[in-house]
Amino acid sequence: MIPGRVAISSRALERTVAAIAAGALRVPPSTVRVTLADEAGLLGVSVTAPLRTTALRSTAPADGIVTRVQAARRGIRAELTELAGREIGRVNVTISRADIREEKRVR
Amino acid sequence: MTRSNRGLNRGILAIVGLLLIALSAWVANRAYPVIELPAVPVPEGATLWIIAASALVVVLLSLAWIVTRGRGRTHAVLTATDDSGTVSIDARVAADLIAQDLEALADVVSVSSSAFRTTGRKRSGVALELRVVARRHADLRHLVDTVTRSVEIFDEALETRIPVLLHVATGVRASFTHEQRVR
Amino acid sequence: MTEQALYRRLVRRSLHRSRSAAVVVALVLLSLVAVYVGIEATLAALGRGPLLITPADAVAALENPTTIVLAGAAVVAIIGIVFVLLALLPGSRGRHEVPNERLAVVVDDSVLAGAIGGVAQRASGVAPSRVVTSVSKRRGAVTITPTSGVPLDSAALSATAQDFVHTLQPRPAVKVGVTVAANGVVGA
Repeated sequence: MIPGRVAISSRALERTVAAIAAGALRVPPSTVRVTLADEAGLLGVSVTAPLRTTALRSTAPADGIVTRVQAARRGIRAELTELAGREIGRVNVTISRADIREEKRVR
Repeated sequence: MTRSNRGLNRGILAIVGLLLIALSAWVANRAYPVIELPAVPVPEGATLWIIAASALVVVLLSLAWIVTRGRGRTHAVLTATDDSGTVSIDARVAADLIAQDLEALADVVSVSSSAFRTTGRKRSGVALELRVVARRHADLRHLVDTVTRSVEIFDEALETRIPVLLHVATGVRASFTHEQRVR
Repeated sequence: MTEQALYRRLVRRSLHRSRSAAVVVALVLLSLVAVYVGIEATLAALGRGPLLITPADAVAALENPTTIVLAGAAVVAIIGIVFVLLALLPGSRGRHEVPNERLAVVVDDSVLAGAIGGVAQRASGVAPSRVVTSVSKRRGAVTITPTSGVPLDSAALSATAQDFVHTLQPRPAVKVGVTVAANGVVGA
């Protein structure tokens, strides 16, 4: 633990959260909207973003939407806590659109 | 769906309508007497205050009624809240997925969606309305069957079965909000 | 509310107008009149001059109506009749319900007409422009203008169309008939 103070502007923090969320949801960061608020001392996070997903009749369908979003949220919370060094309160995720793409096999 | 109570709406219209008819009939009767009606005394003193108070009540009740008219529209088709926070899926996600699924169907012109709060005794929830604009002479049976299948697959994707209303429409009306042009 | 009951309600709301807009108009109208009456009554009660006419003059004008007042009363009566009609008339939106296991489905009558007409057109072999279809609450009517020299069996076509309607089972039930026009058109 390095002593000293890390001062991050709220705007920079918002963009950081947006980048983390974009990674977790696998969508472009520009499509992610983030609102941060104080929640009785904790940092409350609200994210509105699309979700990358497969087509309904895809031959390789992804897992359920809610399951994936909840998993993504866990990832966001973990990464944010580590990166920003703040106590995170509630993380609310609203999926506004479906970003439909076929999964490409990654070798 | 919409918060309005159909029976009550029609009741109010009937009452207001009959009141207006009665009032004009009364005035007509004064000019061309058909039945004997007592003369209305000139309002004075306390009567005037009663009239003013009644008028105020009418205005307040009317405003109260008008204000409670919300269409019960909501954005999210599914909301899951726990200690960690709230996850909410917008109705537009349903439209996106189903519209994409219907792309192959030449008979479909556009797909739009909206979510409505449903009130109920046991539990309230959300219903999804899908508006599919169909081409003239569309194969209706095939279209309905295909949308039904799309919704069933969406049920699996969402991991929940929500009530869905499908409205197959012609393209005459002005754009629904968030109309997704398929072609 | 069970899902069945919910679907009943969704469909009913979709098939008929709720008259919400009309009620709002009626109440706004009523409020405007009430505001004016309230103002005049208050002014009179306070002993001040009227905004337009005093309650006394107003009552007098209604007790001894001039032609203008009568004309106004006629207008009021018409508005009242309109409201009562709106209350009584079903306010159908020109749609039918199509039963479905998973969803509640409502279809615009014009789409239904297009589908029925399409079936009749394919069965008859004439060009689509020769087929006119309309659908009302309980009836469907297809009119086909035949090609000269190519007779059509309207009974058979009606049966075909009715069979198609049967596969959809619209509610309320639609009975459809195909009429072949007496005069045809030369050429395909």
